Amino acid sequence: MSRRSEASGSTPASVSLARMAGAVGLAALILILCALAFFPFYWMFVTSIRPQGQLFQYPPQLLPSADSVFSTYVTLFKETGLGTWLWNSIRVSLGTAILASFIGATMAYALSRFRFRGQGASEYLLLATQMLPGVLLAMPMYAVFNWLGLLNSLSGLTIAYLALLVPVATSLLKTFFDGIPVALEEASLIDGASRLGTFWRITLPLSLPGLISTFLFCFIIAWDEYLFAQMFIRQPGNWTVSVGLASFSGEYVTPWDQVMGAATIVTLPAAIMFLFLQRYLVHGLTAGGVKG
Amino acid sequence: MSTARLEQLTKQYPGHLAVDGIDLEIADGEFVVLVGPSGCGKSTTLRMIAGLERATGGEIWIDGKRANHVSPRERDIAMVFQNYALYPHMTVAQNLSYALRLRRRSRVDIDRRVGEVARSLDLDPLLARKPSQLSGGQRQRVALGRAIIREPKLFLMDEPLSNLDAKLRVQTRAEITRLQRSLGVTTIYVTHDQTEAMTMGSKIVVMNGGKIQQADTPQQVYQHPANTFVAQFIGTPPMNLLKCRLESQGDAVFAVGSGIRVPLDPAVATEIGARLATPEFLLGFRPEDVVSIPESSGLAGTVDVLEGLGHESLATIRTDTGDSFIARMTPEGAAGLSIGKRLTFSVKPDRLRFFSVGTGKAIHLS
Repeated sequence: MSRRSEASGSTPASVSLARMAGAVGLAALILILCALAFFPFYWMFVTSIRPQGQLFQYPPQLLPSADSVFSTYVTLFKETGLGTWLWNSIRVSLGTAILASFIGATMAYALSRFRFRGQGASEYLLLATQMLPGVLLAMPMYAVFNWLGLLNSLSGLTIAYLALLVPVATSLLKTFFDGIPVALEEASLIDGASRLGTFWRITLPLSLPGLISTFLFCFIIAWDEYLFAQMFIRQPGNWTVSVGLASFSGEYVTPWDQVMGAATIVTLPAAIMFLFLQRYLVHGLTAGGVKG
Repeated sequence: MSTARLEQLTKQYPGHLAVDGIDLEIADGEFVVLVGPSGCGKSTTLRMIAGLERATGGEIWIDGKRANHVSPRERDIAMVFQNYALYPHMTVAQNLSYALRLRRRSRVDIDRRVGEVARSLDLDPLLARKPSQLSGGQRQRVALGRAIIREPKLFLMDEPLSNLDAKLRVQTRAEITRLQRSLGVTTIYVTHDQTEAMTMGSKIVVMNGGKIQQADTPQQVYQHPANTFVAQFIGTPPMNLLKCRLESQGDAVFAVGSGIRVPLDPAVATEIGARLATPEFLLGFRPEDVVSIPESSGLAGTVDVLEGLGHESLATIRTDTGDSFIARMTPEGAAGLSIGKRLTFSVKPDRLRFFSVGTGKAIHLS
């Protein structure tokens, strides 16, 4: 081996040097990509704390100036409805994520484990709902919600989001349940658990990463959603943050410091939730249970 | 301890009959091995006994009670799965105690039973580990422990050794046999490995095509196979089967055909002749019953293949008609052999078996 290395002119030292260069290059590439991803958030925050006079300064300053102010944030909470909108968004998004994950889990379990008439059709229907653009659903749903008196209510908005997200949650979780060996559930049934007990004690703990991914996905979609929220909610007191944020754009003036400040605050809950739950997203919890 | 009985048990899948009306009686404390090739219906039968598959016909009786519509949890059985099926999010201790916790046994009782089972299976040092931190053999022992901890009526084992390496398989085979004898729990064990079946079972049930071919003691199944399928499935190498017909010469009667001419007891020949619907039959004999002798007694041929296994040698002998049979020899007996060498053999008359050519069924002699 070493003789061949010498023959081709590469000594062990030069090989390790080349490896190190490769590792450094890779690290640099990752750093650049991270910087590209992170920069919009950084710029959002820096703009929000910049004094009014420096907002459109040219050339733009990358670093925050010494006279940075946090008055924007005080203004946002004191003079706009941001606090209410945040609370509304948290209620709608949490409600949607919890309900979509729960309903999705029960539906996905049935589709994954039981054989029944119309099973294939049910799965196709679930997929079919994803093929229609949201705006196409929004119009008939508006008419139905109007008739049911669900417009302008956060519960109504949650129901609308569930209509969009339950099929997605079901598809995501079905894939996850399909990956859990049936033998584990059979062992539990023989050990003396009921079907529901087995679902609770064996299937759910093993599908925790899938449940958490689904929960996060639904939460973030509901948090970011604008079209339905804008159409179904008219009263500013019931707005969610996405609609509230859009309301900052004025016909003549847009307070960019406030827009950026509000955007920073709006980003935080989803980011915090992701940071807390990301460790559960690591797959491989089922490793070692069955010989595979 | 318990008994089990299957009556005309059937499992019909769409377009496929997996189990075809089988009847089986399993006595208290018996170690019954269901053996057969892949797809013969043995695992489906076991799963129906466990309650994991619903029978489409027939009845299952456990301990004198009809169990067809009893849920798995109420059948009081324990099962060891082929792939272990250990709960990956639980420790070994939690895996072992799961069934007891479900039955709301007291903490003291659970700890005592887990301790006893762990000691009996050498699992003491592993109790805090998760299944992913165990070797294949250790996982297998945990799976066994989980089955024995709650002293069930029936043990069901679905190819529990098939994922272990050869050495561990022999060890665990002995361990399961010892465990079953000491606990005395009625056990139904499924395998496709006929060595496991022969060494472990007090009764072997050979299955093929969803039907029971033969259910008897290992010795009886080996020595007196009910048909050509059993004759060839049980035993390595399988029983030699050569197509022959009866031929008389004076007072002597011979089985003649496939290049051999084996003398038969005249009384036996008369009985066979009376039972045969066609002139031809299959003559069967085990490779170890073929004895090399200097002078021909009608069994002769040239060495075609010679396989040395260390403790024995297997010689495939080709007869003059191109048919072949296998002879098992000692290494010393095979020492002077070479490919192409002509040899002569004899078979003990009482070791000869006879089968119908059409049905493959054994012709039993009175």
